[in-house]
Order: sequence, then C-alpha cells, then structure tokens
Amino acid sequence: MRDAPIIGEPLRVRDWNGILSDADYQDLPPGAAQWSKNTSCRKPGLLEVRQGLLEVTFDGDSQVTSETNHCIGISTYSHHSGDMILFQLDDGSIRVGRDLGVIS
Amino acid sequence: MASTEIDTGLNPQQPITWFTDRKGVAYGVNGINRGIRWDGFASSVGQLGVTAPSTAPTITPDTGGAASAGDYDCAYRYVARDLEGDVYSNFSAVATVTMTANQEFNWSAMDAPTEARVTHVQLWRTTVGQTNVYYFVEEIAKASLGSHVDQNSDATLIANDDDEIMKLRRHNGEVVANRFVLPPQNRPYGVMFQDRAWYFGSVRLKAVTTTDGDTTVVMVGDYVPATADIAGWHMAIDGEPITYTVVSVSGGPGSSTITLDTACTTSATTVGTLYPPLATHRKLMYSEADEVESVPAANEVTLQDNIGDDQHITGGVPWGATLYVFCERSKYAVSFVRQPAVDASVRLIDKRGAFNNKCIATFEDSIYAMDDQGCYSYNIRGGGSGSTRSVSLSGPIQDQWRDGVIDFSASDNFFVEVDRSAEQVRFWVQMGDGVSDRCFTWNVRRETWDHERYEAPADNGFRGSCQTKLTASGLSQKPRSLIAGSFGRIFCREGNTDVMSQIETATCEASSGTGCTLTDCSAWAGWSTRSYIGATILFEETGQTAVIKTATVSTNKLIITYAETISPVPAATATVQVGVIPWSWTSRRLPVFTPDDTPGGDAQNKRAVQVLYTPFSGAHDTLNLRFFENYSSTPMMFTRGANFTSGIQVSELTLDNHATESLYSDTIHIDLDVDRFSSDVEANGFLELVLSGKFVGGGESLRFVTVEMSGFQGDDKIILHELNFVGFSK
Repeated sequence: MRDAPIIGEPLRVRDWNGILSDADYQDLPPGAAQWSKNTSCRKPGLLEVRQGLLEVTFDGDSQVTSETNHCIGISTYSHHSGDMILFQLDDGSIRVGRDLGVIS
Repeated sequence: MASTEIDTGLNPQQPITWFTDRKGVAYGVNGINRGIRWDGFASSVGQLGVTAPSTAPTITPDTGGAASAGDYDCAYRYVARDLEGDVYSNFSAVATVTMTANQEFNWSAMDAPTEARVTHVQLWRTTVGQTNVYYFVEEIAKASLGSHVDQNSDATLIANDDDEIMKLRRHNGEVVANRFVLPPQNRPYGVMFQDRAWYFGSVRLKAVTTTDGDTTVVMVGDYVPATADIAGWHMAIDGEPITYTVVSVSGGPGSSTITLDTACTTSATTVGTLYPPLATHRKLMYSEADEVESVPAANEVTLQDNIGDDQHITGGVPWGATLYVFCERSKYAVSFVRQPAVDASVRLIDKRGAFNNKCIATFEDSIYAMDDQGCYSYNIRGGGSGSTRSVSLSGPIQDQWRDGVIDFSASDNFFVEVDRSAEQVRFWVQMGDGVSDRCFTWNVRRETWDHERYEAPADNGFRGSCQTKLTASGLSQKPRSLIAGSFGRIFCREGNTDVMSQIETATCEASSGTGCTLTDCSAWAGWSTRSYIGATILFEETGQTAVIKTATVSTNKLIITYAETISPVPAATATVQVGVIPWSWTSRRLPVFTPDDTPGGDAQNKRAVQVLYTPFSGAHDTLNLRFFENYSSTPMMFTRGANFTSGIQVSELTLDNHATESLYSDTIHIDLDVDRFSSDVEANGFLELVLSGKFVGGGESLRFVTVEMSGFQGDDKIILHELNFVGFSK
C-alpha cells in the first residue's frame, strides 16, 4: 500500500537500489530500476556510470597486444619476486606477464 | 606483447587450473594433457611428476666387493633436482641377483632419462635375503649414466642416514618407495588443501562425429587429444546403443580418426562425446604430504552419491579445514585431519553447485558461485550448517535465469569475478549472442544489483578474471581485478572511457552501414590497429553508436568495420567520438497522485522531474530522458528542438524523432556542463523538467509514468545524486 503523499512534495530518489527486474514494476522501491546498463549504485546515495576499461600491458610495453589468439584463462601467480599473470590462449600456449601497466 | 611464452601445445578445450604450493611453485592441470609446473624462473614449464624408468638394471656380480652370499634386489630411480627440492620417480623394475660372498655389484643397462627435468639417477638395493628395505648406493649425474661398481657391504649400507633407507611398503601395505606416481592426467581441477595437492573432476569433449559402421569414427576439431592422452577413455555417440572405449587416435588437426574397441552400428554424422572412465569421475585423488607430484593410486576419496544424482564434479575451493567440492547442482565438504585414507570425511552441504570451476570465487568470508538456479553466496563462518549458510542473491533478477534470457548452452564460458577494492562480485554470462560481454554486478555492501556490458574486447568476449595490482610507475597499486578475453587482451577498470584512455574525435570521410573511414585523427590514430577494437563510436549528428570490430591505419586515416550493421547509414561527413560508454537506467512505473490514494490528489497542479547531478566541464557526456505513459512502450513525444529551460532541450537528432510524428521527438537532452549558462553563473547541478498532464478521474488519463535516463559517458564521470518526481506518489 502506498504512503499518502503530500501535495507538492516531490518523491525523492536518493537511495539507488539497483535492478529489480523480477517484480511488478509498479511496486518497486522508488530508487530501484526495472533495468539498467552500465550504471553503478555501489556508493550510497549516488548513481554513477561504471568505470572504463583500459588494456593492460606488460614490462613497460607502450603498445597494446598484437596477439591474434583469444585468452581462455587467466590466473595470478603470487611469486616471491612479485605478482605475475599467467594466461592461456586458445592455441594452447601459456604466457606470463610481469610489471603491469596500461596505455596512457 | 611483452609477455613471455612458457608453454605450448596444451589442449585449449579445457583451460588450465592453477594452484601453488607453499614453496611457491605453480602447478597446472587441465584433465587432458599431462600436468605442468613452473617455478617462476625457468624459461618454460616442466612436466608434472617424473616418469619412472621401466627397464630393470643389469647387475653383473664380480670379484672384489663385500656382498654377502644370497639374493639381492636392485633398482634405480630418477631425480629432478629442482630449486625448491628434489622430485623423484618410482623405482625401475627390480633386478634380483644372486651374489656370493665378497662379490661386487656391476650396474649397467639402465634407461637413460628422457624427461628434461631429470638431473640425476639414484641406485638402490636391498641387503641380502630381504626384499622390502632398500638402501641408497650412489647418485649419478644424468650425463654420467653408464656402468657403475658397488663394492659396499650390507653393514655399510645399513649405516646410511635415515633418508637413505627406504621401504617398498609400510606394514599396512602403503607404498613408500613407489609412492611417486604421476598425478592423474585426467583430472581438470587441482587445489592445494592443507599439506597435499588434490586432483578431481573430469572433462567431456564434444564434437561433430561421423560413424561408418566400423571401429573407426571421425571427430571434427583441431584439438582432438592424442592417443597417449585418451587411450582408454570412453566415447558416447548419439544414436549408438553402447558406449565405446578409445583405442587410438590418428590424424588431425581439423579432423581425427578415432579407433574404438567395438564397431559402431550406424553410419551417420552426429555428436560424439569423449570422457574419462566414469569409475573415476567422482573420485578425488590426493598427493602424499608435501609431495604435490606423488599420487599413489590408493590415495583417493570418493564422493558418495547422497542425493540420487550422480553429477559431475565442476570445481572446488579449499577454505580452512574444508575442501568444498562443487558439482553441477550440489556441493560437498571434504575434510581430513592428518591422513585422508584414515580420517577423511565427506559431507553433503546442499543442492547448490557451480557451472564450472571459474564460477566459484571467494570474498571475505563467503564463497560466491553461480549455477543453473542463479547466483548465491555460501558463508563459511555463518551460523548453522549446510544449506542454512547458502543465500540466494539473484532473487531480484531471477527472471534472467527463469525466462530464458541467459544462454545456458554457453555456461562453460561463464565466470565469477571478484573486485576486492570495489567490494563487488560480477557474474559473467552470455545472452544468446555468443559473446561473454555482460555481467550482473553484486554490490556486496549495499546488497544491490547492477548490469554491465563491456563491448571490448569484441569477438567472443571475456573468459576469466584474476586479482592483482598494477606495478608500472605512476599507477595506484591498489588491488585490481583483471579480465581477459579475445585477441589475448587483458583489461583493468581505469578512467571513464572504454578502450581509449580519453575520448577521441574525428570526421568521417566515407560511411556505410558496416563501417567508416575516419580522417582528422592523425593525433591519435598511430597506435596499433588492435588498439581500437571494442571501442564504441558515437555519431554526434544522429546519436547512433557502433562498436569497432576491426581497424586499419592508413596514412593518418582509420578504416573501421563495425561489429554489427547499423541503420540508417550515418552521413559521409559525420563527426564521431570514440571511446564513449553507453548507459541507461529505467525507473519503476511511477503512479501519479489520484484522489483514490490521496485526498485532494486531483488538485495536484504540477508534475515535474528534477535531476540533481555533479556538473563538469566536459563536452562528451550526455544525459537524456524519455518518458513512457501508463503501460506504453512508445515514449511520450515533445516538440522537436523546444527548450524547457536553459540546459533542457527536446532533441533535434533525427533518430530521436517520434515514430510517426516527425515534428516531435522522444528524447529530452539535459546539459551537464557547468558552463551551460551564457552568464558567469555556473550550473548548480539542479535541473527541473516540468511535465504537462493532470489526473482526470474516471477517464483514460495518465496513471503511471516510467522514466528512462540514458546517454554516453565521455571524459567526465557522470554522477547523479537525486531524481525527484513532483506529482507522483511513492
């Protein structure tokens, strides 16, 4: 049952409650969304667009990869000398990357 | 790419599962190929375990030694002298030799090691007249293996150090000298649990298969395993009345001929499935203590079928004193105190499982997993036991699972990603387009769901994630989640744009529905052509978008093809922004005030939407509003180009035109620029859009309004603080 409104008093959505798609859209909490794409309600009180993606490079490389095969798996290898990234390509090879950066 | 290749030739149909022992060595298994190990230093991986020599040594007695009269057993084994410790093979076949007093043992004809990691060969023999206790005789460098003379007396060998004396078996029958059995090759999952490595699960390899009424079938695919890997596996072929056993494989890549133990009964092109013998598929194999690469056949624990559903094991995760083993629709807890053969216990937890090993992740004190029922968490330290610790998370979005939105046939590609610093868990799925580029994001603290779509890296999307930190100078070393996918690309979340580090602009020189040629981009088009794949292009004049599938740099021009054909074709001289993030948010269906629920509601004389946002000085970010009356899927229309107030304008973009009324538009643009006023006054982040319409009781009037916000994020982050609805009830 809906609360009785005060005429002229706006319905304020300050608390963003994310997606609630499996419900009657008339009964959702005010801050809930029927659907959304690329928004984030991680921080209380804010609705933000998600962060972007940047490609990771290794060993100070200034170029993104020219690899043609696809990654099928990735894992962190916590070695005594520091973290490394082990990743497998769909040609059956395994590669290791160190000193991670991004193209700026 | 400045990464280093450390292995080739693995079967990619099952990704490697990695685990690390407490010496820092990484081990990988995939259930098809022999496992691998890597210490972080070597230029390439090594094979898991050391294969035992097969030939017994030749022992030739001769005068000059100190043997006693009687029978001796002699054997040798290989040693891999690794930085982290020695790894041994089992003994070779045993040679029994009858000596007379004071003879010497002349060792010869020992198999030369063929595995690269083997560095030494050790000679062992018994004392006279017994067959169970072996004594170390000599260690020989691999390159010096030949003939060797042993003139030791039994008394000398009995005086060996403890680690140079070894039984074949303990009193209870457990093997000792021959405990160095290779880990099982047909288990795709491995974990380090307490002081032992555990290997479990089984793979199923499906492909188009043609039968011809005899013992050979042809299986399509570049990665049909070799005879050495799958001899003895089973093969089920659709339409055949029995399951066959694989004898050998030949041919490939492209297609391979598989010879079976029994002739097929049909001649047909159908689907065949290869899998290891079912007798092992619910058995967990475990290594000797602190010997990851030693797995005697007796070291097994079976998951008894406790729920009448003999499901395959799909993954596992160790946590404290428990190894959680997941099946497709159930999970078990395995624990032991010291010796699993004696004190291991297996307990059914509940009937929630995981699609695959990548659909299991841990964060804080919970396991997050995804199965065919949805997403859930299992709290390790929660109250109660068993199923009381499982909490379904996906209830608010359960329609995605229930209503056929998610493509379960692609569940091998689903995975769960944990982002520690953001305190988010992402559940990656496919939705029928063959691309793993969507995820449902669980905000752990707020217990809310978001939906995200990442067009990069294009093609077939993402396949996995891991946690690490970036270490290059100038970057925060906060914990980050990396996601890996097509074209060997690995991404992290950084900045406000996708693929590009900032929005880049250009002008089209040519345009079609499938691609365009960009000019005026010499400042940024000099990168690798791969740099642009997956970026979203926004056409400014129309508001259309396209995702870059390929890009070719040609004399300061960028020739682009789109992932999907777009219509209508953008103008040949269109201007574009590259790297934007499309976004949208659709409200609940908001009821207007009525006299039924609010006395005097029909007196409501104002209906408006107010947006409170963070203004910024960016040129590439947009916020649009559309409104839907009652249950209509067609947006409300407004006069094209009309200004509500400064900063709020009805769109003039052609694509925003109303479906049937060209003088009207569906979309209202809100200008987020802090400098949107022509005066010196800066925008304060508050805009109000006044809507017409008043409730008319009893008529077919406005009852509900749905608000859709959408747009594109560019260089500045779009942040909304409040959305207020005047004239609407809660």
